Amino acid sequence: MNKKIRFIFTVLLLIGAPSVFAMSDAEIEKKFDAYEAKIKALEKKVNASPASVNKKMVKNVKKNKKRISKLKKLMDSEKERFQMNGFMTVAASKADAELGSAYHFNDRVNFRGDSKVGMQFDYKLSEDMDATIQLVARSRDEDVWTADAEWAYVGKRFTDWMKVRVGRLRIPFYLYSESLDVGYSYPWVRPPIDLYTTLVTSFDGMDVAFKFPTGPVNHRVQVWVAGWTNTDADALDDIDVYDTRGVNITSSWRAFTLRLATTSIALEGTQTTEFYSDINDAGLAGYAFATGGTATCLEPSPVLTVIAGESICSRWDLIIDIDDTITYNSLAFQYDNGTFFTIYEAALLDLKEESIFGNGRADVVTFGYRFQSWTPYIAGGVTESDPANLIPGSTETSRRSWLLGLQHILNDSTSIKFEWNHLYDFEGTDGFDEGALEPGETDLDDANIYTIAIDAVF
Amino acid sequence: MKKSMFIYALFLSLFIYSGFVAAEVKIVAHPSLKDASLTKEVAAKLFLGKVSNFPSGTKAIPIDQETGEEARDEFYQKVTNKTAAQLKSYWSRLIFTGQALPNKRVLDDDEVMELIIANPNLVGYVSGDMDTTGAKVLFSMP
Repeated sequence: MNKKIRFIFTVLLLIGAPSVFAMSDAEIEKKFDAYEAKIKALEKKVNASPASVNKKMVKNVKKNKKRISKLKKLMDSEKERFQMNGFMTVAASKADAELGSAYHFNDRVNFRGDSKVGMQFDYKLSEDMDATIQLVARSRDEDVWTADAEWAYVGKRFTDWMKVRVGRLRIPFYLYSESLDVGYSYPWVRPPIDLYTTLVTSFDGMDVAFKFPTGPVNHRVQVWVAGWTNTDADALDDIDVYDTRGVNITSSWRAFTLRLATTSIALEGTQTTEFYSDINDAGLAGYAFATGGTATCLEPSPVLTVIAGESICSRWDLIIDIDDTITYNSLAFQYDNGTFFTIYEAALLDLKEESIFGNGRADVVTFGYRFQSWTPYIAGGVTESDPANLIPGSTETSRRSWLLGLQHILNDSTSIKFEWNHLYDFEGTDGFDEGALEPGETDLDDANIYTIAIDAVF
Repeated sequence: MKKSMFIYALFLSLFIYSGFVAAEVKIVAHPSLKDASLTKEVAAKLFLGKVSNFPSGTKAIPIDQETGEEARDEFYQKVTNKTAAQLKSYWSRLIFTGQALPNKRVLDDDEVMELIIANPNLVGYVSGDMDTTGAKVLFSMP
């Protein structure tokens, strides 16, 4: 401290000191009262505001406590046992002609082919066991929408990498076979008919799924075996499908997915086919011998009655015994980087006896590009099959197709798709007609199917 | 004069740049978790239902925010490169073929934080500017 400051300090002290001693007791008391009043007033203020602030805070705290406890309940719900999810497709389609496939395409606009709704209920039985049932109602099944259980099983997860399911499951023929009814899960209006029209769709049995990585690649292997198989087609009414099993592996790395699958189905029973061509007794006997079955005349010809002493039959049927095994081997490759995607899928149908159909092969390739909420896509396919040994007049058949489509995302759970499917280059019977097993050629040179479909998941 | 102007400009640009570098999405978990961080690939796998454990072996329960929340859309776009519709399509395939069930859902950033702090198996995402005190940040991405 330098001299100047010390001097000022001393002067101030001398000035201030006397003023303290100059105050009388009464004045000091007055001053104290004033301060006391001030403190009281401040205290009041302090106590008043916390009360109003407190009220708000208390209310908020209460509200938050309630929310937390509700969420905790939701959380302690590993115990949230029940979940419900659904999907739905409403689609209108029109073809140029009557194409009697399982999709009911014909030359009038109809909603029957592709419209369907599904509900799935998942219930957690325990930490590692769950039960699932998925009911699907399709308008194409009957005139009335009937709900069928597509999936109904109990599953148990034994380890992180292995899970077993027992019950009704879908047959995993191809890449999208298991989610066949969920329009929102694939890019087209329906999975390409060149490939995805199979006679059987689900099985009652069990499957085991293994998940494991090899380096950066993730794999899922599924092995399954059926006790009984569920068929979609009337054509298999008198045929038992048994001994159904398969194995597949799906490997994925970044945007790439590769899937290899094999499915084996055994058929046993009788197949009855009606024919509308003219035939004589010798002809009937000939077919019966060749196929090992029985050929019976149902209606003698009204016009041609007797020629050279033989009667002519104009409507007849052939009943043959079926005992065959079909193996479906398929390969699927998919690349999807979020914007551009391509899918190539091929299947080989191999029949041991080639009785009611011959060996077959189908290939489909698809390309698509996502622009914001619009996704145009294009696909081309070819399907071929060999003649069937037991069906008289059966020839090689083949068919090509291409399709052009546009998908527009309406919101994050609904989309609308516009698709034009053009089928051409029909060789032999194209497999479309209800009477496809009849000998002869199809009338059509080509066919078009136009569809608008709205898919939703909820 | 010129030298100091340059330095000033440099600092100014760094300051502005740092504003844009602020993380836009963060993954948070309970502080007791053994893992120190997650890579983008592992994070994507956890939230897409492809793996159910953290790399350290602890069971992981991912929680999502409600559809429509900005943090949710940002997270999935940045970490998994999927839009909301693609995500829905992806999940619909898994749900309806019985392979997985969707993640638990909560309302927003605040609820994610409340639950993360209370449960050591949960993992969730919040917006970059959310206060994450009390939780461990496993991943952040601008």
